[in-house]
Order: sequence, then structure tokens, then C-alpha cells
Amino acid sequence: MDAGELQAAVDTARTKHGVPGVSVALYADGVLDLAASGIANVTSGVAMTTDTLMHVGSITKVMNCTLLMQLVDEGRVALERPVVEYLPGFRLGDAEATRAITIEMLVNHTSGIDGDLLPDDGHDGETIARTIERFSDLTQIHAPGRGRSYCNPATVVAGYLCQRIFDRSWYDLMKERLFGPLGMEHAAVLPEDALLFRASVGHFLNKATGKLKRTSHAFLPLGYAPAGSTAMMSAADLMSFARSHLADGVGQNGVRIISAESAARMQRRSGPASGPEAFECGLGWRLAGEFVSHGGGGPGIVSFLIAHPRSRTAAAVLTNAEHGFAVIADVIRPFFVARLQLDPFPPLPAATNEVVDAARYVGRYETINTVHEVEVHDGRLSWASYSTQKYYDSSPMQKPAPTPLIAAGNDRFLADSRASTMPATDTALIGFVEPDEYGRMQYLVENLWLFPRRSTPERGIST
Amino acid sequence: MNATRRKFLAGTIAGISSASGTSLWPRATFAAEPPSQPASTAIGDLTDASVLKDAIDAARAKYNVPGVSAAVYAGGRLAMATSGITNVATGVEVTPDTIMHIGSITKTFTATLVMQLVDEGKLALERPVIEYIPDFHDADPAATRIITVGELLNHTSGIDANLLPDAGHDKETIENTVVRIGQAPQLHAPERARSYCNAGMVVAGYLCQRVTGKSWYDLMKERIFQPLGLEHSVVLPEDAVLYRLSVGHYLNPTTKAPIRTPRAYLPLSYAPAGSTAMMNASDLMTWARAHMAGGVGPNGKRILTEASATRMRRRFGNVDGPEAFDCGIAWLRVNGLLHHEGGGPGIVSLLVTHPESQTAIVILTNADYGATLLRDLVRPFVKARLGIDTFQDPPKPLADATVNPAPYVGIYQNSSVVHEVEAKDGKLMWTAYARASYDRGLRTERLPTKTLLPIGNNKFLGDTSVVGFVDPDASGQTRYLQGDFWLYRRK
Repeated sequence: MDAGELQAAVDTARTKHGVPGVSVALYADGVLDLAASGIANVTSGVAMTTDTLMHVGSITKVMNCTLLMQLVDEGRVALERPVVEYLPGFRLGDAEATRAITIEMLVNHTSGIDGDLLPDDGHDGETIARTIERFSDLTQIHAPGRGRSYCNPATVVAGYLCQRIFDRSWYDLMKERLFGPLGMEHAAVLPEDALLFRASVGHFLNKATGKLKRTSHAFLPLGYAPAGSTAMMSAADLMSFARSHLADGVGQNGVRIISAESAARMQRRSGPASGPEAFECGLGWRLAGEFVSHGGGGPGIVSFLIAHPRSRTAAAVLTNAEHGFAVIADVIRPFFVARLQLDPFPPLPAATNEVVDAARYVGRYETINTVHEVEVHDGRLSWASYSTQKYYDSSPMQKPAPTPLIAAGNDRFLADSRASTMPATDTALIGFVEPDEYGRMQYLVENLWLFPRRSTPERGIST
Repeated sequence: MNATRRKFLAGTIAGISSASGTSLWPRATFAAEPPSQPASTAIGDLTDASVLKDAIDAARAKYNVPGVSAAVYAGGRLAMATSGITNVATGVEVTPDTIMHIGSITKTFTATLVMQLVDEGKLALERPVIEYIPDFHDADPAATRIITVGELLNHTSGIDANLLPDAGHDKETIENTVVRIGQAPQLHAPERARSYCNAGMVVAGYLCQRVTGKSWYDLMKERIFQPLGLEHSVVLPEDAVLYRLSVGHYLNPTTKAPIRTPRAYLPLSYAPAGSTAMMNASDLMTWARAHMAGGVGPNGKRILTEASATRMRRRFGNVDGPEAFDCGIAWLRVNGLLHHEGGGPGIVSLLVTHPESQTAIVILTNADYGATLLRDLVRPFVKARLGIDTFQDPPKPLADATVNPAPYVGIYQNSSVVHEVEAKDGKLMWTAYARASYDRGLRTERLPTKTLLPIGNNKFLGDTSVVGFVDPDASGQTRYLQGDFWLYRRK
């Protein structure tokens, strides 16, 4: 695909899905292709360019983990040692978990800390250090190392640990130890630095009117910066970062940022010792087949970075719309299918229409900010999910009308994703794992999260 | 000294810090800057938007300022115009919606928040700060006991913490900074003098936080921006990202081209003094009109009692020593005008109001060297409309340049700048340097030594800067050097 074809493909996908702005970087066979399309902000009308900074969201976690691996390389932390050894003041609500959580568990999503996102403490109170203090109330989704559920707070702890051991702020570390060495000149981790660039912000789609609305908040709580609330960059710079991981820790400019061993270790499966897993993960990277990847979200943004290390092929797509995943898939899928005959977004399982025992699934599953209610509604196994934390413009607080769960085999179900708090695609895949002695599932799995069962109906239900 | 350098220093002692990157906020637009053109230069009726547009286009081109946003209100007519680009690195155009730094003009907002709380009976200007913030602590225990709320707002508290070094994003909170300000010494005893005091305004903003239990940022939004319908006004960097926005520029002395600032803001914790606020010229004009109308916005919403709005304009405080300028509550006063300047990393802004005639002008620029542009536009407007010429022509050295250096020789300083004054070959020599910079690693080199030429009344011309000496002691030695809005105490 030449530059013109890529531009046309990105323009088409963006227009088709009604996304305001997209920035793309594709890398294959040693060739980098860039494209930018649309506008950075519907209220300002500023055009997207390949220099425009866009939110990368949680892709930041891979960078954060890279900082941590620099500490490992320098012999200043060991992945298998407990966090409290390095942060004696670190406290969670669960004393035993506090003692047991290792450094590695912070970056492979097996710590079990239930603190997806805390309410924004306000600009003047929202510091990484203060956010860590607020973690002292958090409980566990599962015991440390006994499950894998996407865990924002653990990555914040990892960033704070880097801050403490390097004795530099996390923001400075990102600039001095990653952006600077890799020559990433269109990258910012501080909101006040983002201002210096052409910068994009998020948008939401009003489904009733079809109108795009700019987000009221440019960032998730700043104290969660190491988990990805603040980082913005061009797709080209994000690709520079990715290429260093495809080249054993050495950037395209020849500067090494981590050892080859650490780069490889990040791409190898890591933990948990036992327990349910919502997804597969190395250190920082999500693993799926031959791919390593990370997605990012934020107020009205979706971003995605995916790499195929064996062939040194990678794609970064940044969008400024909550519904931007459709554009990501439209750009990334054909790229990898054409190059490697591999689909990085395999289709959902088909409906099996089997008869299931509803009693195994019915119940209330809950984390700090999300409730899933599984019940029999109008004679059908049904599901409703809602957020218990208010986040800016989005997050429904009311329980929506339950939507039927359509059996798809192996305790998995398909459902209309409008009932989800985090609709990634039109159809949600809801799984159930870890049956107890009565066959009742102890966890609901949606996307990358485990939701532990918190209550069971008193009477058995059958359909 | 070459011409570029001179322009860079812009004829003010504040320029000293500009040279080292620590642009101090108010610029002496009204004090000592030599005009680049005669005061009589004709200017059209700026209340006509197309005339205003032509005027700012021309001025912007003349001074190579990247972007300008302006609003003029006179005779019940309102005109607005913008020109140029927001950022030389992006090339994005300035539009009427574009938010730009207002810098220290923010002080009029912070003072208004305080006056709202006075109106509500929650604060009294004459009461000591420590009554409301029991843990308020100044390095000087005597000052801690007596600094009043009012003294925070009229630059007479004497707290010597013009700007503190940036503590970094993750530590830069208003509350933490108030503790750090508390470790600063006094430049003068409270009410003993008046010297521009950023720290006082930060403490005032914090006071509002403590009394209301809300952050200063929320107070600005909820108590001012929302009631007045200011929809293009922000105080948080993370909110600014949502708008078309402008950032500062410096002039590259070699290429003569504007270069974008490496940082968008002064330290964030100085927000109540003006490090973060950004708005479009239109919103700032709405603000000016609310004050000129006695506390009622053009939308009819009252944000302040008439009595408080009036009180803010009147001379405030009984200063029994030297004063670097005249001041009400936050408003700077000169010849019946109430005004405020704003600075920041690579920005200069100006708001001038004349409540008596309900006339006001707002000019926001995104260039550190924008002061001459401001003056070129504002001086003829104010002169033609109001018959007031506040801008002075460049002072001329006296024909008899004989100086007795004895009263002046010495070292003078505040928390930011040191001035060394010495006698050499019968001449008075002056060297200044920034002693602290807000940014880690910035230069604090000495500026070239200049000869001080007398212009009378204990004032001298050092190149293009006016340096005064005030407050002689019994021996005749002056206790303070005055430059621009600042006093520097003899060491």
C-alpha cells in the first residue's frame, strides 16, 4: 500500500464510522507509512496532521513497564520481590495482599487490586503520590497471583515505584528515559506540555442525533498518569516506541532503552500461578497469538498499538472518538491479513443455542465501579451492567434494561453491548469462570476484566 | 548592546528576568517603556471591528508577533478582532474563540473571589490572615501575626516570594506552595511599602479555598466564569487542551524569528496570581464590563456587590513608606484608569478600563516582546478617547550628569533579582542578575553592567531601563531600589 492508498483507506474508514480524527502509523519491511485524517477537535475545527498529539491512553502502560524494566536492568528492583520491600509505606485495604504483591504482579495484571479508577481528586489534589495513599482502602478482586484482571491501580503503583527509586517524577522519567532517548519530539505526558502542540481531544457520539460532542474533560484523573490518563503523542512517535520493542530494546536511532533480555521478557507470558484469567499478558504487553498489543481509552478516545515481533511488523492507530475502535479494526485488520495472513481481531464465537443451566450464572458480580447483574428476565437468561462511579460525560448510573445472553459455548455468551459500561464492539462476549462446589460461577469475565460474584439469589432458578 | 537585545529587555527591569527566562508578570507598559512611535500617531475608531482588525494586523506584522486577540468597548459599542497564529510550531490560526494567556490579569479575578467572600461576611479585609488560616506561617513571626487579608490584595504584605522554583507537576499544588511561601522572608514589614507581590495573591487564592472548602480552580469556574457566561475561559491546563489555544513565543535573537516557548505556563501553583488562566479577548472584556458596571455582567448576573466593586477601584491601604505604584484591590491605578498587565512564558497581555466613561480595551498577545505592540495600540486609543496619556516618552538624562553616588551605592535585592550599584570613575554603575529562576537549570547570568544617567528625583536611566532609589535613611542612603513595579531592599 502506498502513501496515497493508506490515506484514502484511513479517510474512508474515518468517514464511514463518523470519527472526527485519526492518526495512523504502519511499519512493515523496514518501511514506515503515516496518515492523518479529519479534525483534532470539533469545536475548534483544527485539522489533524501527522504531528498532532493524540491520546494513547493505556498504551502508556507499556511505556511505564519499560521504565520499570530499566530499573530491573540496573539491578535496582527484582520482579519477584514484594512491592513493600521497596515501598515500605505502601498499603492496601487487605494487609495480606499488601505483603504478597510482587513487582511483577503490578505489570502483568495479577495483583488483584480492585481499584479500576478512583474519582478525580481535582487538579490541585490529584498527584500520583496522593493517589497511592488513597489506595489504602482498596480491596481485592482475587488474591495476588491467583487470577488476571486488568488492573489500573497496580500500574500506578509501578509508576510511583519508578518515581521513588529514580527519585524523579514519573513525568520527568517518561521524558528523560523514553521520549528523549528515542527522539520522540511529538509526545507529552503533562497536560501543560500538550498545549505546546497541535493536540486532539476526545469526542462522544450522540446516538440519537448522530452529532459529535467534544468531551468535557480532556483527561482521566491525572493521578492515574502512569496507567495512561495523560500521555499524548503522534502515531509516528508511538511507532518509534514500538519499534524499539521490536528491535530488542534499541530505538530506530540506535539508542538502547532496555536490555534485549528485558524486551524479550516483556513479550513472554507472565503469571498468574493459578486462577481465572480474563486475558493473556506478558509484562505491560497484552499477548494474543503471535501478537503483542495494547489498547487505550480515555474520555472520548480509543487507541491501539499492535505488533507482530517475529516479522517486525506493527500498527498504531489513534482516534479521537469513543466509537473509534471500528476505524482501528478497519485499518489494522487488512494490514495484517495482507501481510501475514493473520487476523489480529478474531471473530466472536458463534451462537450455539444450547440449553444452559441459568442457576450457574445468575447473580450479582461486582468490582469497585461496575456491577453486572445476571438474572432470568422474561424467561431468558439476561444481563445488565452499570457503573457505580460517575465519570465525566459518560458512564450510565442507572441499571439498563437487561439484554438476553445468547449461549456461545464453554460458559460464554453473546450480548448486545449497549448493556455494557465499556462497549468495545457492537456485541459483547460475556464469560463465566471458576465454578464453586455447587457449579455456580465465581467470576464474570467481560473484555479484560474479572468481576467477582458478590451475591447469589436465595432460591434456585431454573429455566 | 545590539538592538535585538534591547528590544528583548524591553526597557524594563522586569526584562532582566525575561533575559534569563523568568519573565515576571506585569510589564511596565505604563511606566517607563520608550514608545516606538510618537504618541500623536493617528489611529482610527477602534470600536469599528474592521478598523481594529486593520490596526492589530499592522501592529502584529510590524513587531513580528505571531498572534493577537483584541476587544474594545467604548460608547456602548463592542468590537473584537484577531490576527495571526496561535503557535509557530503548528501554524493554527487565532480565531475569536481562541483562548490566550491573560497572566496576572488573573489577580483581578482572585481579588474578586475574595470580595465575594467579604460580601458574604465570610472574610474581612482588615482581619489577619492567620485568623482564617490558623496554620498560616511566615518566616517572620511578627509578619505572620499581622498580615491582613487586604494586604494580600494590594501588594503591601511584604512577603518576598515573587516566584518560587517549579516544584514539578506532581507536587505543584496551591496548598503546598503556601507552605513554601511561608518560609520566605519579608521584603518589608506589612504596610510599610508597596512592591508587586505574587505570593500575596497566591495566599489570597488559598484563603478562598480554605474558607469555602473548594479548590480555587472550581471557585473560578463556579463563581465567575459560569455566572458571567464566560465560555472560553479556563484555569486548568487540562481544560485548555479542549480549546483552540495559543502559547507564548520569544524572539530568536539571531534569526529574528519567533520561537515557541518550551513551557506553556509559569509554575502551576501560582495559579491564583496568574500562571494558568487563559481566555479569549471577548470573555476578558465581559469581565471588564462587569467590573465597570459595579459588579453586574452584561448578562445581568451580579457577581459582586456594587460597594465591593467600587472599593476595589479606590486606592486601598495606608502605606507609610515607598510605593512602586498605586493600587486599589488588585486593580492597578493610574490617571483614573484601572488596569492590569499579564505576563508569562512568552506572552504579554493588557486590560485597561476607564469606568467613569465605560471604556475598556483588551489586548492579548502570544509574544514576550509584545509590550510595544500593546502600547502602540492602547496609547493612541486612550489618548484620543479619554484625553489621558499615561505612557511616558523616554526619559532624557539631565544635561548636568554629575552624580553623588554615596546615597545609592550598594546591593539591593528581592527573592528574584539582585542589583549591584557601584561608583566607578565618578559614574554610577548598575549590574543586575536573576538570583533565582522558576525553572530548574535556567541561566542566571549577570546582565551587562550599565551606566546610570540621572534623570532627576533620584531616578536614573540605565540603557532603556528606569532605576529609582527611594526611602533614604538618616544618613541619606536609600533603603530601596525601585525598578518597574518592584522594590528591592538594600542588603
